[in-house]
Amino acid sequence: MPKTIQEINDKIRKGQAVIVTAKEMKDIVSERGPEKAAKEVDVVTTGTFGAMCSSGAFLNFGHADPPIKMQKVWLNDVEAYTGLAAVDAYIGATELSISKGMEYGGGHVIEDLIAGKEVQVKATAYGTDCYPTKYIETAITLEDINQAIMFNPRNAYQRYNAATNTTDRTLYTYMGTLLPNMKNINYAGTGEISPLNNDPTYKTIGVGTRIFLGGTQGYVASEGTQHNPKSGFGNLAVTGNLKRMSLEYIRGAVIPKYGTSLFVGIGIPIPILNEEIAKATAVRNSGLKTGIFDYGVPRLQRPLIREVTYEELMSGEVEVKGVKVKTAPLSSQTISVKITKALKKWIEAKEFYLTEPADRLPQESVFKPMKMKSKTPPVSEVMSRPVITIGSKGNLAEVSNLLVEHSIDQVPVVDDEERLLGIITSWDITKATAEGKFDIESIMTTNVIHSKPNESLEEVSRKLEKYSINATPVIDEQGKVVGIITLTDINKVYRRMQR
Amino acid sequence: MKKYILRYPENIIAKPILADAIIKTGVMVNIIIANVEYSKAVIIISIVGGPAEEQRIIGYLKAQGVEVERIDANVIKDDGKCVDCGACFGVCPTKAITLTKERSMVLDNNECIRCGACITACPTRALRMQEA
Repeated sequence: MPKTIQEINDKIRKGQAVIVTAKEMKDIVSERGPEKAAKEVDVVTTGTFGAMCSSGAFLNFGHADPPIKMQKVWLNDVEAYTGLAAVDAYIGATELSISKGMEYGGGHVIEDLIAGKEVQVKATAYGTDCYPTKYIETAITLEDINQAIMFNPRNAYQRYNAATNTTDRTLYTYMGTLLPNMKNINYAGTGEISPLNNDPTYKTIGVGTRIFLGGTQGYVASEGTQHNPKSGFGNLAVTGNLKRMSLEYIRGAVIPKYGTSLFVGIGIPIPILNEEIAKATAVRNSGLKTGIFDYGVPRLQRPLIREVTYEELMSGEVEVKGVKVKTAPLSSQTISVKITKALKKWIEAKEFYLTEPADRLPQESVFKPMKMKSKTPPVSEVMSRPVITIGSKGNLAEVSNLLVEHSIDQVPVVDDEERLLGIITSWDITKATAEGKFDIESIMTTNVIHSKPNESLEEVSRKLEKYSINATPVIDEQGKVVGIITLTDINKVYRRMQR
Repeated sequence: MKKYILRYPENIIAKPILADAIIKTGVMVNIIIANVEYSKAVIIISIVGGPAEEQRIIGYLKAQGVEVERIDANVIKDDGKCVDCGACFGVCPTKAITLTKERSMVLDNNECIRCGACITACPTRALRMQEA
């Protein structure tokens, strides 16, 4: 006999509702079966706590006298978006401080506001007849301002790709620090206790669903941006009153050498209306699959290393190609579990009632890539070739002559089969002359930053910038040098595209 | 393995005291960090062996005028800031950081080599290195 949300709320009111956490529900369903579980249990509480970049808050500062129509505003040196009415602004979690860089961002402004700290406000304006003030400097606390409404356009993903790095250099990504040569795998999400994994077809979670958000009651506003239900990557846009939130469940975050973010805690109650819904809440980590992808390839389609279950990821190590690799979570299991318990308590205490969704979340929408009107050609079409190379047995004079003769700044050093051994730049020659070194092997730089023929120019540009170099040799699958790509080559393409 | 901070006063910086101590006592050490400056030198070592070996080499070092202090904590965690996200666990090159069944992080300072990788990786800046 299916239940209604109305009936469950009546039971909550009478103190008769049976509320269990997502963890507890797994055992109930395995022991008694979904039919009995659906009869006995009324609500299952789910939770997640992780760094969610698409988060922020709308703030209303109140009017100054004489008034200002803020054109730009900075909160503790972090810019907030003011393309709204006079004193409204949106502070986004990933905006960086203009004075502290990546150590402080919008996420930290939100944290400081919740902590009750004073936040410095600087605003500029062009001045109008009705808003004459052009510059304001003041300090506010959360209490001083009129509204602080958290609105996060993309939170609580159903699942996430796991990340690793097959290159020989450390990568700093939104999935955290990825050590070279696949020394670690980072994953996110809380698996079997995560809200959308317990209602994967959005039967009960919909527009308007009342939720736990940052320690207070919030709501699902709509499906999240990039909501991708068909591939199991659904997510939610959520909103709630920042003024009632707690630092236990909202925290600023630094993702090393990537940027700032916001840890957000979300809990969603699932009303067990029927057997089917009960069955869905029985999902286990062993049944939740995701992929481990190689973030060494900075493209939209990263290579899949292998499929993996959340059970394997949460065990602390996963075997890849015969090697055990450490897996680290980026979401907090401890706080997520705490959220499921807190939400359970609220409902038991009759402080939280369930809601009928005002509308269902889209089941069919797809996540499209950006429409590109022009595309940069791959490295193979831009690189210089044939490439001038030198064998490792040469000497300083020979290299110098090569550079002068061909008006080039660097020359790759190769073995008999044209495989890359090192590189010599004009700077290496200057240094060798100063140090009195003459043979190629002692002059050349080994461990060369290189590119592949099918790489994008954006990837190469990023490498040149990151390592402060002007060119990289291009090598094929066998390690043979097939070309060289320089900053000049890349600039030519960009200039042509801009025309 | 227990770790110690060795502080060299200015007058003995130039002497190869640690090498001498290893040869004379036959006790092996791992040098974790060595920071030698103009007027002071600080070396952090871990001693291979048990209490007997520790006592032998420390006694020798002290006799040469080196100040020796045991390190009881390397990385210090601020529990109020830590959210148990686990980012530190993945980047730790030794077994100094483990996760409990509930995935709460635990520090074992005996295994720590003071590389600082966890401190850099921590999103809430909850970790810091104890001053040497």
